[in-house]
Amino acid sequence: MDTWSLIAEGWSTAITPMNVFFCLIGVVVGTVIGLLPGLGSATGVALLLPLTLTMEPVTALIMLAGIYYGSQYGATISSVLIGTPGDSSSYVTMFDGYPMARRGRAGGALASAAIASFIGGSVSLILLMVAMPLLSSFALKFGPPETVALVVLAMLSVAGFAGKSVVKAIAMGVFGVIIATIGIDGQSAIARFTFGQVELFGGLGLIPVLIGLVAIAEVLRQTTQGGSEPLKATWRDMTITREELKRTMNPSWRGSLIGFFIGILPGAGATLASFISYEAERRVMKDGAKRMGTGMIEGVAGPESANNAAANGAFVPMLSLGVPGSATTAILLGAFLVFGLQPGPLLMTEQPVLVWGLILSFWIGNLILLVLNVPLAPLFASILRFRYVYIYPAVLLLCLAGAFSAQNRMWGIWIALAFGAIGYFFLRYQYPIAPLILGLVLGPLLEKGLDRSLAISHGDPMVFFERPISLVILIFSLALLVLPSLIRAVRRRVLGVRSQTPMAEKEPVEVGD
Amino acid sequence: MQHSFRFRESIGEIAGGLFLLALGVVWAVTSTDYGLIGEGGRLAPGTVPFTAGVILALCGAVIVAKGIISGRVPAGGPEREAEVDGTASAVNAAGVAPPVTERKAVATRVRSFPQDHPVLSVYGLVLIGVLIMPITGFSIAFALAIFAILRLVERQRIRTAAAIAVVTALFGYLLFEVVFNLPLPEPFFL
Repeated sequence: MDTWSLIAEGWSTAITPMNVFFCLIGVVVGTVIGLLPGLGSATGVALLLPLTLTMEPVTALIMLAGIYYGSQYGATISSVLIGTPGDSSSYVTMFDGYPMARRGRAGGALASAAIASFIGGSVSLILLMVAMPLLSSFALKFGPPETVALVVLAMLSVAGFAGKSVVKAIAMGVFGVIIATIGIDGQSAIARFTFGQVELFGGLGLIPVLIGLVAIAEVLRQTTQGGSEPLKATWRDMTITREELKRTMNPSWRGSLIGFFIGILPGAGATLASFISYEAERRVMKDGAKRMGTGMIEGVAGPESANNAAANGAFVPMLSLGVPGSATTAILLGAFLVFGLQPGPLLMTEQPVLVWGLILSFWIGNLILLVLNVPLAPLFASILRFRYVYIYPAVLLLCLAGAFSAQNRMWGIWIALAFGAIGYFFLRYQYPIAPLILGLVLGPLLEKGLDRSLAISHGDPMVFFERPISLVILIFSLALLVLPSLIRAVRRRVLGVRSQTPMAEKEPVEVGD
Repeated sequence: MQHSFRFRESIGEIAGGLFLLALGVVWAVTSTDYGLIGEGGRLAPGTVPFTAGVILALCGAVIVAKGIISGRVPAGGPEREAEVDGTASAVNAAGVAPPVTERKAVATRVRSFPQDHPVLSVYGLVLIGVLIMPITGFSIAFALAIFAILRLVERQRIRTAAAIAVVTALFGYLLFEVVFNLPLPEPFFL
C-alpha cells in the first residue's frame, strides 16, 4: 500500500466519532492542566496514562497526544493573563503577551496564540507527512549499533539542554538506567536487584515511577508556592482585531518552520524553538530591539506557532526512530510500550494506520483547540481564579488512584509515593527530571542494543565506530553537547533586549516540553 | 582569607550527592554477583548496571565536592550570598536568567522554597491515608487524608475541607470505578 492510501486510512481512523471525542477530551483536559501553573504537559500525560489502559491503543494515544499539545495552549493562557508560564515552552510568550493583557488586549494575544498554534500545527503536519516516510525508510537500515548510538544521542542531547549542571543531568540519566535494571533481565532471565522481593521481579513499574517523579513531586513543590492574581478577562476583551490578525500571519509561518526543524532534533524541544522564533521576530521587526517586549503581537504569534510545530516535530524521531526528544515524548514512548507497541523503524511498517491516525489526529486536535479557545478563552481564564488548594486534592487523587490502577495492587501506590519524595528532592535541588525519564524509558533498549551489537561483532566494541551511520550519530551527539552553550548565548541576547517584563510568580516547569 | 560554611544551603547538595554516590556503589558492587563479562565478549547481566553504578557514583562524588566547595564562602558576606542564591536558582528551571527587575522577587521566592514543613505535613498525611487504605478502602482513606490536609495544613474551614474531600473522593470513584472500570482498593469488609 502506498503512503497516500495509508494516510487516507489513518484519516478514517482519526475521524471516527470515538477518536474525535477522546481527542476533544484530551485537548480540553490538556488546556486545563497546562494553564494551572506547575502542571505541565509531562505531568498531565503521566497523570492520565492509567485512565487509558482499558482503551484501544490508537484512541489512548490520540487522547494522550491531545493532552500534550492542549497543555501547551493552556500554558499560554496563564502566560498571558498572569505572567506565569504553566510550561517552559510558553515562557517567551509572556514577554509580549502579558504586556498586551495589561493594555486590555488579552483577547488579541490569546486569539493570536490560538491561530498561530493552529498554523504551526498544520504546517508541521504537512512536513511530518513528508519527513516520516523518508526517515522511516532510512531507519530500516538501522541495526543494533545504530540504535545504541541513537539512545546515546537522545540522552546526551537532553542532558546537554537540561540546565546549568551537566553532572546532575548525566547523573539523572544514569539513575534512570539504574531504575530500569530492577527486575527480570530481558536477555538472561536473571532477577536483578530484587533483593528477594517477589514484587520486584516485574520491575518497579513505569507508570507509578512516572506518577511519583513528575506529578506527586510537583504537587509537593506547589504546596510551598504562593498563589497569583489573574487579570480579569471579559468576553468583550477577548476578540481579535483585523489588524492584529494580519500581524499574526507572517510570524506564524516563520515560527512554524523554525519550530518543526528544531522540534525534530532530539533534546531541543518546544522551549528552544520558541526562543529562536522570538529572536527571529526581533530581527525581522523594524526597531525590534526596542519594540519587542512591550506588547507586540508578533512576539506572541511567532513563539506560539514555533512551540506547537516543535511539539509535532518531536514525534518524528520518536515514531520513526523510537528516540524521544523530551520528557513528555519519553512518557508517550512509555505509553506505546505499555500498549505493547515498540516505537522504532518497524512501527511505520507494522502499524501504519495507528501512526497515521495519530499524526492526523494532531490536526483535528489543533482545529478543536482553535474552535474552542477563541470563544472560550475567558471561561478557561476563570479557572485561574481557583486557588491551588482546591485543585491539588484532585491531582493527588489521580496520582494515587492511577498508580494503583496501573498494577492493580497497593505496591504501585507505595512506589509512586517513594518516587514522589525522591522527585521532590530532585526538584528542590535543581536536578533535571527529563534525563531521568529518558534513562528509565530507554535503559532497556540501550542494554538490548549493546548486547546484540556485541554479539554481531563478537565482543568488539569498535562496532559502534566502524559503521558509518552509527559513527555519524555519535559525532552528532558530541556536537549537541556543545550546542547548549550557543543556545544560552541566544537566550542571553533575547533576554538582554527585554525592557519592562512581567514578574513571574514561579519558575516554569523544566520537564514540560 | 577566612571562610565560613553555609551548612543550610550546602547540606542538601551534599546529601543528594551522597545518596547518588551510595546508590552507585551499591549497584556496582551488587552487579558483580551477576557477572561482568559475558560469553564471547557479549554483555553479562551485570555489565550495564555495573557501568551505570560506577558512573553514578562518580557523578555523586563530583556533586558532593561541589557542594562542599560552594558551601565555603568568605566570612561576613551575607548580602552577596543572598544575591548569588537568588540569581543562580532563578536560572535553573527554564534555563534562563530573569532580568534584573525580576531578580529581587525571584530571590525572595527562592528563599521561601526551603520552608519544607507543609511538604512534610502533606506527605505524612498522605502516607497515613495510604496506610489505612487496606482497612477503609481507597475512597474513605483518601477523603480523610484530604480533609486532614485541608484542615490542618491549609487551615481551611471544616465545612470547606469536608466538602472538597467528599466531592474529590466521589469524583475519583465515579471516574475510575464507573467510567473507566478500573477497580480501586475496597474496604476490608466488602
